[in-house]
Amino acid sequence: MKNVPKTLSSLSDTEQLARTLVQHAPPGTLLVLSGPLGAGKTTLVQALGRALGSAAQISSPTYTLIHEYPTPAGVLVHIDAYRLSAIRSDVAEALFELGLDDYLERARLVAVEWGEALLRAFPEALIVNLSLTGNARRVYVTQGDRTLV
Amino acid sequence: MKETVILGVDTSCDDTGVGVVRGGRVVANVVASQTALHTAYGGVMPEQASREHLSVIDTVLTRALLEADVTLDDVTHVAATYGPGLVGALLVGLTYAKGLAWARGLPFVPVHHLEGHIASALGASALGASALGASSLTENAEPPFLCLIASGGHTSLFDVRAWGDYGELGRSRDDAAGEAFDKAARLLGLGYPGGPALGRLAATGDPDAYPFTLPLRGQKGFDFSFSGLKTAVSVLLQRQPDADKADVAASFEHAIVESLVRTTLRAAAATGYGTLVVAGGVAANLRLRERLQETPLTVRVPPFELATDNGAMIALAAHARLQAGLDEGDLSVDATPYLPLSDASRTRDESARS
Repeated sequence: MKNVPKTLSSLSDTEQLARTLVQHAPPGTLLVLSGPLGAGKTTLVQALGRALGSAAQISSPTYTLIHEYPTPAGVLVHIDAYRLSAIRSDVAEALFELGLDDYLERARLVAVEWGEALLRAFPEALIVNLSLTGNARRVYVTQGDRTLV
Repeated sequence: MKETVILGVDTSCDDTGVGVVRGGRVVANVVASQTALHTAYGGVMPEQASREHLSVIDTVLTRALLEADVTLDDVTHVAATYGPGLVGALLVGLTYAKGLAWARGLPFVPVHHLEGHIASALGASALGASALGASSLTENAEPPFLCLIASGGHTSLFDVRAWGDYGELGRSRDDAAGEAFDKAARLLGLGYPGGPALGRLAATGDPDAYPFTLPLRGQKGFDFSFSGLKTAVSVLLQRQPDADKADVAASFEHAIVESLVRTTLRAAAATGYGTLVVAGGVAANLRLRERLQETPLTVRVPPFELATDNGAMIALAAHARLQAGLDEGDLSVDATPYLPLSDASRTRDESARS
């Protein structure tokens, strides 16, 4: 991927990353967002919404597990498995029970926070890893064993 | 006119709620919490959310009717949440309620989940007043008023102009207030969800120990943002692993409460309203209550079981809509996962006019 900042120091860096991800991801792509609390996962999904041309107000789905937003490019699905991982050992199975297949079939993009458990079933998923050191956010994007950013 | 007996159903997230409102008063409010089930099963969720709702909803309804001392023959209206929420979960309660209404030939009233929280005002008592008066329907609970909804899933400030006529003044741009409490609790090693535990720990700490920057300072609007505070706690604990946890908890709680209260006070000044209704689980936070009592506002808080997700508030919202002469709605409504309340009230108003 070109023109992607390796460190996100401002919202415009996050916007740039989101636009590149959207260009790189065909419809129905699963995006696994990895990183600790406060690393900027929900902020990235907000930027993904704007990159898809949506004016929807995107907020954290931690409590409701799944939010979906209509965008001109198709539905953006935002999943947060944080709560699931606190109550279940088989997070991937729990997400399938919640209809993950259906969402992938009809969505433009499915972004899953705390969804690392899905990588066994979806080795081709795009993984965005965000880490927080001090106030800087470092980003890695990988797919399978390839490092894209 | 015959006294209305309204059945209200809410399955927007984890909890299966059925309530009964008779003549405007809550006479039953039964909630089956999946969180309790998780605990009972040693932390392993046995079934998916919607299957769980499906397996308990009959029992919850039966218990609600018993508690209300009515039978299905007495019920005059059926109401249910149609959005926003988890689509699979919403579908269970909505389809169940629509089926019931259809089978019994009763009018069906679709209700927005947040309109339910707003209508919990009808079961609220003024802060500082005796809890014994909690169930009385008083003039103070009638619009216009300001409504702060602060829960695990939502944080919004509404201008309640009339029943069915709501303007969203502001909302959280990221995490909900209850979610911020839960996540900070996790960072502090208090488990998850640990919001209430954080509140108890905060009571023993110094709220001025770590002056967190209040979010969105200087904004003209009435939005909230709690994600940055969570990050600030994370950064603080990285840098100072030995920081006193009670002090961190107290400072964090102070920042959340101040953000909620100051934004609400500005909204009260802008609207000119003197009455504030606080709904959602965060309404139980003691510091928030204390701080609100220091303000000149008349603050009304529903009892905890009516402030958190439940079916009675949905029945109360239906009652308020009917009293205001609004349309009842019909069986064609679908479960709608993304549904801003301002959109919902507008659509409903338009459909009433056409």
